[in-house]
Amino acid sequence: MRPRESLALAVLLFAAAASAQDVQVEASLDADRVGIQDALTLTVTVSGAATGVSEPELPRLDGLKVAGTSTSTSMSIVNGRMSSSRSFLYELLPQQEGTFEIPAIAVEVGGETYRTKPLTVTVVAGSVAPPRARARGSSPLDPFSPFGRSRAPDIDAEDVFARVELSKDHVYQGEPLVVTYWLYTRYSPLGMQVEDDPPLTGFWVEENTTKTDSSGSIRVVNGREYYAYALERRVLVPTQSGTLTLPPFTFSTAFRVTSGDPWDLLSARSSRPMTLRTEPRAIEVKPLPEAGRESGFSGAVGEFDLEAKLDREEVDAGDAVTLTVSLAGKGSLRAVEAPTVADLAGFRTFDPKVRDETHAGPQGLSSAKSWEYVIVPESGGTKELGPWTLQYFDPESGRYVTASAGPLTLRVAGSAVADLDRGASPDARREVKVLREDIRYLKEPPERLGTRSRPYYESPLFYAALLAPLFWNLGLVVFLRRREREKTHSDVFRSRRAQRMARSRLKRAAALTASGSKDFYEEVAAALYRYVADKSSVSASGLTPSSIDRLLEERGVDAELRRELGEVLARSEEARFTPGERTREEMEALRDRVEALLVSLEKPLG
Amino acid sequence: MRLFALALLLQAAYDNPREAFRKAESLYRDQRYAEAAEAYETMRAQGIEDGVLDYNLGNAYFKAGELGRAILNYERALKRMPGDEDVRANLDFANELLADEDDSPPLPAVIGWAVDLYDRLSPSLLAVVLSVVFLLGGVLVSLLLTEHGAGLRTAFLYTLAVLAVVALGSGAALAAKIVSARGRVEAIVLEDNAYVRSGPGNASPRLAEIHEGLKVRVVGEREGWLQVSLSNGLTGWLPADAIERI
Repeated sequence: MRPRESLALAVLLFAAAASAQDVQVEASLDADRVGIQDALTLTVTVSGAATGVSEPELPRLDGLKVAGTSTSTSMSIVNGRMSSSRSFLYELLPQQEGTFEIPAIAVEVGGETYRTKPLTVTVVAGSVAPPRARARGSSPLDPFSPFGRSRAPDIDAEDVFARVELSKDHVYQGEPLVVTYWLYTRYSPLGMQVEDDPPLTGFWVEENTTKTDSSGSIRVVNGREYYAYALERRVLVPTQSGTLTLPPFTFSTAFRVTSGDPWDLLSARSSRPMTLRTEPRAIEVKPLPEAGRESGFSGAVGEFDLEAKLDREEVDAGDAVTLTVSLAGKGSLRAVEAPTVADLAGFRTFDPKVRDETHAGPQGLSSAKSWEYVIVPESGGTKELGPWTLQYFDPESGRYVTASAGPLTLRVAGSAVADLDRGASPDARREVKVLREDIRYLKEPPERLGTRSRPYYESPLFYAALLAPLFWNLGLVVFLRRREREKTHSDVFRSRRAQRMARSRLKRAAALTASGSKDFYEEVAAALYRYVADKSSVSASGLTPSSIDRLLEERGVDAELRRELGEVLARSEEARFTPGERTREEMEALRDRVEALLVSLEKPLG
Repeated sequence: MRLFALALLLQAAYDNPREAFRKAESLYRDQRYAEAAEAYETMRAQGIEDGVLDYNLGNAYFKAGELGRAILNYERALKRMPGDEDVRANLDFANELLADEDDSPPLPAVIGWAVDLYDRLSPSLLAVVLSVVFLLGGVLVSLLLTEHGAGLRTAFLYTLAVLAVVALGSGAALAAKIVSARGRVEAIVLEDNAYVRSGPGNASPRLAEIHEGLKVRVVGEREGWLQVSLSNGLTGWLPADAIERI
């Protein structure tokens, strides 16, 4: 074992031995008789132990509430012996009057449990007048007191107190009352901290409480002047009848203390924080009387005016009008339902828009509530709306009062509105809301209902429609081809016959040579025309010498032959239309030339 | 004698299908759905075949809580009147309630559109289109045979090409519809739940569990068992009485 370790062990053993010998645990109260408005301090002191002191476990305290804790430690080494004391301070607030016992408190020190002696305290009404030790700013265990000096100046308890002020202490259920917590002081307060603000039972606390102003006013109590500061102001609405208790309101504040010499401003010092509390107060809440209450009583307590108005006095049937019913006055309107709307037959109405305003002030509650209806007249004429009534309870007179508004007159132009635009006002138009999906409804039987008929695609008509084009086009093809063939046939026939026909014409012409008739030339020309026409499968009637020349050129007849043909035709023309006799020789010569032509044309036109 | 006459009169009234429709509808309106379904079934048994009858019967079954039969009859109605919005809406509504999810892969938009068009066209309409196209085409061919002007011939040829495409499409669709109607390959599961087995007979292992209202395709048949294929591609056997062909 090394020297350093052995030294540490020795110290530990020494400390343990010391704690085992001289540990003392004590509990004390700074007063054994306090007022319910006062606070008291419970001190648990552990002396003789330097280490291993754990926080005491406070038992349940009847009639007292722990508002705060603090600790202090002092340590000294005398003659090589270490002595220490550790204090746990509990700020206690009495909750009710009576005598209460603070049971033994267990404190664990160095693994062993020590118990304090039980204590008793008596709580009386009000505040105990003789200033408590604490109020003088020093307690026996004040860490500064051994040095003989009090840091905080003294505050006279008579100079500082708290009060609660009620606007009324006899109210009807539902009638608002104003609660104000006041600080009365002859010093200037330095800030305020709420220590204990128990929840209120049996009251509705209006949230919109206006802030209290921080500047105090001067008030005289028992011939002494005080600054009075309103710390907290609330508007309460009793929700049940009977005697309701307003619990104490606890707060702490420090004060600025001067010597009183107006020139000695620099000597001003801050006092220790003081805990102050108000007295509990009883409030008598009377139930609303039965007498005079109608079945449609609105529940409003206070004093109210009812008003109804329309945004227009003239309107077309089917157009929307806004009807506003408003209620305003002193008192709470939170739970008030819309005044009974008189019969609105002949109007379509929609759910009202509700506006609710409440203002809480030092005088109590002022409320305004309005219901805005969109109504649509369905037919023309002069309509009367209302009157509206609302019964409320007036606590001042202790009686029920009925407020009324209307009736209003509305002139509606036009006649009945068609059903078509039912269901939607201009203001309340909305999408079709699907409530539930379902299958579609049954169908009507068709006109022609019966047994199954053969579908069209199986009917002969369908097949006929498919096959008909095929057949008629086949027929058409056959017809066209036959016609074509017939046409070709006749051409060949003509072509073949052409020579023979031409020669028979020439023969006939030869018979005319004897008579010397000019018809000879006509026959000769006709024979030639006819021949070329037959050979070319064209009609002879439209042919002229020039068109014959073109036709023959197309078919490849040489120029010599064409010239000869043209000459022959020209000669016969000339002979036909010029006066004078033609000799037989002349005619025969022409006939020979034509015959020769026919022979030589036969080959290229073949 | 008078009683007999009355009976005859009643019989005549019942024989009048419109009267029977009215009766069934009043049962339906009174929420006596099972009785309404029975009334419609009686009409069908009497030989009335109509899409409206199928539709109303489907509605009655739907309200009576028989989802499978409702879907079966909606499908039948759709076969008879493929373009009818009411039938389609109710079939879709009923299909929403199916226990089995439709896990067939989604189709590309163009094909989906074509399938939708195919579903909505009735065979009769297709047949009418086909006949009109054929007649028009025939007229055009005739004109082509007789007309010699080059410009007109080109116009006729293009028109003919378009008509040929329409004819091919509608002809193929019609053929497909006729074949599927003849084959009656689609069927609806009517039992609450049925097991698809790997072979005909209860000894075969179960492949899948399917529920009322599911549409399956019948691909084979053997001794009271039907071979079916599901939309997810699974093929197996079901007892013939578990399903009914559309």
